[in-house]
Amino acid sequence: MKLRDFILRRVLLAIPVIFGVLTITWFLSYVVGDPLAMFITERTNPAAIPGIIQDHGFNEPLVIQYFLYLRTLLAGDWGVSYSTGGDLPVLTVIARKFPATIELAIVAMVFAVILGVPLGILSATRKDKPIDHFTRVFSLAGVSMPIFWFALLLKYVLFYQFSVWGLPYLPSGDRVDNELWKTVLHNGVGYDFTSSITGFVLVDSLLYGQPILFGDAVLHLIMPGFCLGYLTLAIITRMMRSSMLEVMKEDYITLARSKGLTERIVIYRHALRNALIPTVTVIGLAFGGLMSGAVLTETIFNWPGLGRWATQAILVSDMAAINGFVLLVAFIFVSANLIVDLTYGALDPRIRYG
Amino acid sequence: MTVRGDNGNDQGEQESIVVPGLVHRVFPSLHIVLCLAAISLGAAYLVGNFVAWFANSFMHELGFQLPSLLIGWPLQALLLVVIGYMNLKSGRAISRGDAWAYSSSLYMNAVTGVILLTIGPLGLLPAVGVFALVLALFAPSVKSYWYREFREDMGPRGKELRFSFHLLRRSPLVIVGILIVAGYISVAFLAPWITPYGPEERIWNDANLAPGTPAGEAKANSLILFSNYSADISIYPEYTRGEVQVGPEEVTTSLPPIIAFSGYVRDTGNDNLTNVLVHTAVYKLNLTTFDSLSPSLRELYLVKSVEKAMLSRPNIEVNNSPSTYVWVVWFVASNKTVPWIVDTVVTLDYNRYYPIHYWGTDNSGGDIYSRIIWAAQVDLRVSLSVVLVALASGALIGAASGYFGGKLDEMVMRITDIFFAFPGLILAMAIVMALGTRNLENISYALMITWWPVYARVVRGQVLSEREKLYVEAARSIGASDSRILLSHIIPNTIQPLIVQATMDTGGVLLTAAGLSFIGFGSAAGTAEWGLMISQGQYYLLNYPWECMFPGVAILMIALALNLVGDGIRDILDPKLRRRG
Amino acid sequence: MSQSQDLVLSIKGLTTNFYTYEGVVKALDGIELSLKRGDTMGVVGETGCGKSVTAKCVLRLIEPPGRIDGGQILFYDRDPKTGETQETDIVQLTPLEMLSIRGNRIAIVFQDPATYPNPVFRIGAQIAEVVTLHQDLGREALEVRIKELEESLKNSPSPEHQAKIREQIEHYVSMLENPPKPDRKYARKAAWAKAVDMLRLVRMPSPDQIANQYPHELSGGMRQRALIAMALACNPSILICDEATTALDVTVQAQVLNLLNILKKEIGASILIITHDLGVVAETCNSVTVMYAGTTVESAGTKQLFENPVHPYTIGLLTAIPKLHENKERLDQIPGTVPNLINPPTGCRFHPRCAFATDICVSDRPSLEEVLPGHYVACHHPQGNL
Repeated sequence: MKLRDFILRRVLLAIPVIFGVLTITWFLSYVVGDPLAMFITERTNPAAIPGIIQDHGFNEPLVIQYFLYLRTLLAGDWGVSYSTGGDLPVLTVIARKFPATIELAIVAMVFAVILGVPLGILSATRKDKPIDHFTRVFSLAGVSMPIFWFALLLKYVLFYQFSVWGLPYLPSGDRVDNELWKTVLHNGVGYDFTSSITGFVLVDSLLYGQPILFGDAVLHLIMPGFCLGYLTLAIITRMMRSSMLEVMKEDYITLARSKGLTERIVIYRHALRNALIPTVTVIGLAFGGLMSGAVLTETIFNWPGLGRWATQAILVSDMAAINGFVLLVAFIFVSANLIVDLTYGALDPRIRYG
Repeated sequence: MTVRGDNGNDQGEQESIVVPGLVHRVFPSLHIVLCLAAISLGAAYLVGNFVAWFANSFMHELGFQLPSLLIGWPLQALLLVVIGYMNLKSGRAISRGDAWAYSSSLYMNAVTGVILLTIGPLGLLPAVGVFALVLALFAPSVKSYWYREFREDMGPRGKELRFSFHLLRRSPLVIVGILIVAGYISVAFLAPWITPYGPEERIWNDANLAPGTPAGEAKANSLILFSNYSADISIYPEYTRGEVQVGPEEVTTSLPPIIAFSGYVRDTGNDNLTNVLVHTAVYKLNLTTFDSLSPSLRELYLVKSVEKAMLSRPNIEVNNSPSTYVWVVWFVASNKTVPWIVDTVVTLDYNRYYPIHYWGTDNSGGDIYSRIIWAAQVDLRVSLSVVLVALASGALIGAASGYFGGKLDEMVMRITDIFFAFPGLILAMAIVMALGTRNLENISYALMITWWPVYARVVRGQVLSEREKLYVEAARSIGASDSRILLSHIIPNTIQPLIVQATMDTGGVLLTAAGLSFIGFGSAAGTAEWGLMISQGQYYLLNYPWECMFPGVAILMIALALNLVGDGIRDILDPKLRRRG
Repeated sequence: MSQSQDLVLSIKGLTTNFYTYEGVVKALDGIELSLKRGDTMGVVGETGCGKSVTAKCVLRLIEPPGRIDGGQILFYDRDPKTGETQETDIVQLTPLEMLSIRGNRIAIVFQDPATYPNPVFRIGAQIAEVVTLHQDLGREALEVRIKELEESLKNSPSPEHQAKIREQIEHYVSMLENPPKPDRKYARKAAWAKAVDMLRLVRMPSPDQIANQYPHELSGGMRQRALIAMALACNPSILICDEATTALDVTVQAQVLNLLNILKKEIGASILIITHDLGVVAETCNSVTVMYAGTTVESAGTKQLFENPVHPYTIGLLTAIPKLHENKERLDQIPGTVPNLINPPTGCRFHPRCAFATDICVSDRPSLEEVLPGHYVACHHPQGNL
């Protein structure tokens, strides 16, 4: 009952932010930029241009344009992206590319959480020991790493040099080995949006019942996933370390020690639960970093997701695609933080009822 | 010292002291005059900027031109107005006899002076006055008046500062970070002297060379001895000649100097059958001796001569020791009826050497070492200007929001919420896209717009928490003025987190700017900029990995160093971590 | 002090230092203290005199940069079954051995009920945790299981089923004498039941409900009671109350003190009350130890000490208490301030503030001597009626 109110309140709080996001993208693309560019391509019939202007109300006052913009967006008309081959509606492109990016982001997040939380704990509990110094440098490097360069470095070492040295090497890019998929599935196209079931390659390969394809998908995910997750990993490690150090100085830890609990239980039961609370917030914020990172990583690993679509769109000034991408990322970011807020409530009883 | 009884102003029951002496009577009025000057200058700049912008955007056809003296950086103008206003208040406090106001005017005058110096020629005169005022504060009779109180006020802070330095000395990583940052900054400044090549200089023959390979072409300092482009027939058959003295400064490398000729002849009419010979020669003589000798005797001193038809570009080596030479160019044709176009350049290339491409060359023959060092200028400038502007504007907005609270605060916070709904790189991307042109300036503007909410949040939070703190309440209850509370309590406590945030953000902004540049938002191809260098090197990654590895290391190192410093300073300033062990 | 048979805690020459940037803080310098079995002793002194540090030393909870540098903390633990007394020196114990004493044989209640309970766990779980940790819940778990079976017996539909359950009950009853290691599920239930019992013991209204609540949902006084319940859950030999009532308002403070007085009789633990409030001492303790700047200055029965204080510091402390029937313009105070423990005064640490100080006070450290029966004082010039 109370939990429902809490969720409702958080969701309502997100609505003005979403409106703000819409306003900013509108301002950028309609007031500062050239809105016509979104609806006109080189293949557009010049005679149709006045019609387009009329349809989208570009001759109307700005206030009316703003409401028209909101109406078209809500009606599902996000413009046409001409950087994708055929002039496809932006929403269609997003629907096709979204799973690839989300899958990569989830894998990166899993990498980051699975490695980051234990590393942070280890670093905090062995403060000023060699492992702490190593972890701090490792995580500092993650925060300072130009992600696009790190991707190139990984590719050079794990793909090229390993193959030169005759070691087993990771694939240099792409989501799957398409030839392998063609042979296994006998469908002639391999893996693309027509042959996928859910859009998530890990899930699809299991749905097809082909462990070899699953293995192939995993191999392709390791390098981009780690590369994308490294920044998040570093942020989580640092946050975990500092909040753990903070929590270890709290009075309730002294109380837990005075009960005669072993240091292990004091750390993993009493301190960890409290230290996780700020870390969870950081995870939500890090999702934005993942989206930014996807733009850079996907290009390098030839990952057919939103990020690579956005970079291609940038190169040819495909305004509709950029606008749609920015809007979508902001929505994802806002909802990720909403989810985190809710998790936060579950972790910390003081918030839930506060 | 006597206690003034009739102190019926807003200072309440604060004990004030009657100011003795002439200096103390002149000082406040001079102070107030200079403050007013600074404020009006700032305001004039603000108005001037606005008018200039207005004129540029709307009145272009009218040919309206504003005196360029009044166009400056709006931020400085804004700061001048704000600080000037606060300074004016402390000037009034001085005239009331508040000893503390002297020390507050010390800071504010110093800051005002620096801003005035940067604003342009108009600011010079007030700046001199302001600095004179600062110096006057240390005149013995004035100093004795306020300095003891100031020492007592600052004493504990000085102790804290010394303790901070003690902690700093004990954290080697922070020191390493500071050294690296200092190294980058000095390297950026020294770029012209420590790089063999310019930022966009290319040796096409040297493309894709591995690190450590010597250059294929020698690098030299050049001195143009003669340059002529003419359609004049009178050149024929005379000599064009000149003297060149090779001094000891010009033979400091192991390669001898050369005298390089470029003689090019094109006829302008129907003499196309004419075969013009370009004669070039160098003699080891001085000009007077050369002129006095007969042609056959001159041949005894000939270093080398070259004859070629129509186009001749010989490089004639001379001895690698100081001496005097005469160079000669003349054109010989069998017959001639129309003027020729003759293009002649003679240069002395001295101090020649083969540079080593320490970090290899890129695909178009640019020296990676030189380019990385030149790029430090570009990248550091972008990130520093972004952080400074974002910090100044964010801090102003945040401070106002925190200090005044209410509707303003609510509005500012909602706006920052919206900005925080975008990941930094992606909002910046959208802004650059909307701005239209892709260059580093637009990247900078986009990042400034993206980054200010961070500082607004930090400062607002600090101001809010400081405002509620007991010591501020206490200061207020004994009648301290707003500006005094702001200066002695709120600003010092807000500056610390700001410094930390700004240090770490400089790295973050640098990474984001490089990222934007990498995906194609940066300057034109060929600019020396780390992100762009990596972007261009990525296509040659497998064969020539150094082309993108070295710029990446450069980014990583500076970002790492900035993070180390920021992290370290935060730990040092954190009161919770301070008193341990 | 003579070592008598009925002592439960005896601290001898305890020295604890904190190694900080400013220098070595000599927080405790030769503390002497003995607590008799079943006694309630008050430890009083000004803020910063080392009371809380002493308490933390007894539980070995001193963390770096602090370190116990000398002395003994002798703990005479009586086995509840055999009645044998065993002497252990807490300073010499390994951290692992210490775990079985902390919270089990010696428990502590801390000052601030707002920050000490863990905010993310339910009250019941926090009490049950210490029960599961230190107690072999074999028998209790079996009892819970039998009770559950008896419940299901009542609701059981068929006679065959009932017979089956009866058989099970008999099986478990036979095991009661020699209980095996408890099943996890039932141990948890038994511990929870015990936690509810403890909450009932500390006079908590509706303990079942409270056990299911989080600390932030309780008032300060209730939280402090929950902490006391937590401390008493394993029937400790010694209960240390480290300023346990300081953060509470006066009415709640009185309730908690009352509770302690009652509980002492019910559970038979010796209690060490650390406080700067002499009123609390007068109300609850039978003996008092006075500390000053890391040293013990006086130790006696409460009545004795209040009526006939001997050490000049104690005299000053007692005259500083405002009294209702006196009508004074200004309260009495001890001149000077608490010394800096990095460079403490030589000799007697109180000499700079003492009206009776002579040269010997500056040069020699007085030792704790028995001046009257059961009345110990560390002073070269003891005052009062000797």
